[in-house]
Amino acid sequence: MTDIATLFQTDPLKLTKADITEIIKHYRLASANFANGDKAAGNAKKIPGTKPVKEKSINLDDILD
Amino acid sequence: MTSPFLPGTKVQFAWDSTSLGWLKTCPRLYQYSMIDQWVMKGERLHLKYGLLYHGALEFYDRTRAQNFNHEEALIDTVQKVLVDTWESPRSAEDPAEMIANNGRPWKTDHPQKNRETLIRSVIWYLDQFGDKDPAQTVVLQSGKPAVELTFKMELDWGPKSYYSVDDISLAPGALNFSTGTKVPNTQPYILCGHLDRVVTYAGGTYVMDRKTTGSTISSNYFDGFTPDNQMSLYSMASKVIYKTPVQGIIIDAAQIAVGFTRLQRGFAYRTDAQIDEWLENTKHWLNLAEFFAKEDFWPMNDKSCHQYGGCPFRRVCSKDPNVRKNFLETDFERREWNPLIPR
Repeated sequence: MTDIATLFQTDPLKLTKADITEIIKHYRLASANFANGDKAAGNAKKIPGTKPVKEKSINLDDILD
Repeated sequence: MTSPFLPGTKVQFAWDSTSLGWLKTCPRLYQYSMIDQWVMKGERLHLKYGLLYHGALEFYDRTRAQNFNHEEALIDTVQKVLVDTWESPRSAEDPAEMIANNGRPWKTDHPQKNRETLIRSVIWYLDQFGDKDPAQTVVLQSGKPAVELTFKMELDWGPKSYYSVDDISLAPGALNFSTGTKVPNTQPYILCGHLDRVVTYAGGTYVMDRKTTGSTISSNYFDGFTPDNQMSLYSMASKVIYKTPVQGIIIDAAQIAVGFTRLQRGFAYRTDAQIDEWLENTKHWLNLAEFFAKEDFWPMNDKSCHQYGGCPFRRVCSKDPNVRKNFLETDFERREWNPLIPR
């Protein structure tokens, strides 16, 4: 997969249909992550991937038990 | 290009919803923005971003009307946006640098309005509303899709002013004033504008308007379009020019943030009586604008300064009248806003 940042720095007339599809795929993934509650999902600086799993809150009583 | 003002006067005869909105908000805002053509430095970015966003969605609509499917039209649209936001060597300020780099992507210092958020917003919008949208583009009698329709609508009346001419022989009824020869105006008022799209939706016909905002979209956001100058004008234009009576406006709003674009659809309805009332109101507003132009004075409405997030000229108006010109020249720049120029 071509890095999304590289695609954005490339002369658009040299991009292939597959490159454009990759950009669309990138933003569709971001859209899905936004729908799952990640409000920074579409940030250009964000590394593409799934939404990070939130750490489960820890109850101190469970540890000390 | 024709001026929107009668020759030799400050009487505006061609109006769009923007200039009419300035007048209604505050005559001084109208003076600074329309008569003197000032715009706050940096505002051009918002205009450019809006034009790119609208241009992309228009391109998609036209491509779909040529029977391309959603994916094909989306790929072509994204490529168009990438090309439109690529600064080629020919447009370079520094040609040597640009040729060496074979062009470069459009860069802004704005966290919400840049190339990446633009492409993201176009893709998210079209994935939500492009495919299987219950709002379908109306096909005009010409067979063309009703998208990006520029209109110029002559009214039955015009300014009552005289205006300056150079050649008296061609001007019946001309009068000699101390300032020169003037003739009675025969130019009617013209209302101008631009409809993004006309659609059918749930058995009705609507004008669709796409908006971008940095604010959170709530029900209050959509309530703000009834009553509203722009939406009433667009409803009237659709009815009069395109012979398509509309129920009102569909507003597709995009809240553009750094990390996301939130999209929401809202409605603003208009009856025929409401449209007629808007036109009657407009007649009085245009008479008032002509009066201000003849007086060469546009009073401040100091109750509007803090509305709509604050007037851009508030800082200027808050200064002593003797130093305002300095502040205008420091914080603002001249640009051409002419309702007669199609977008």
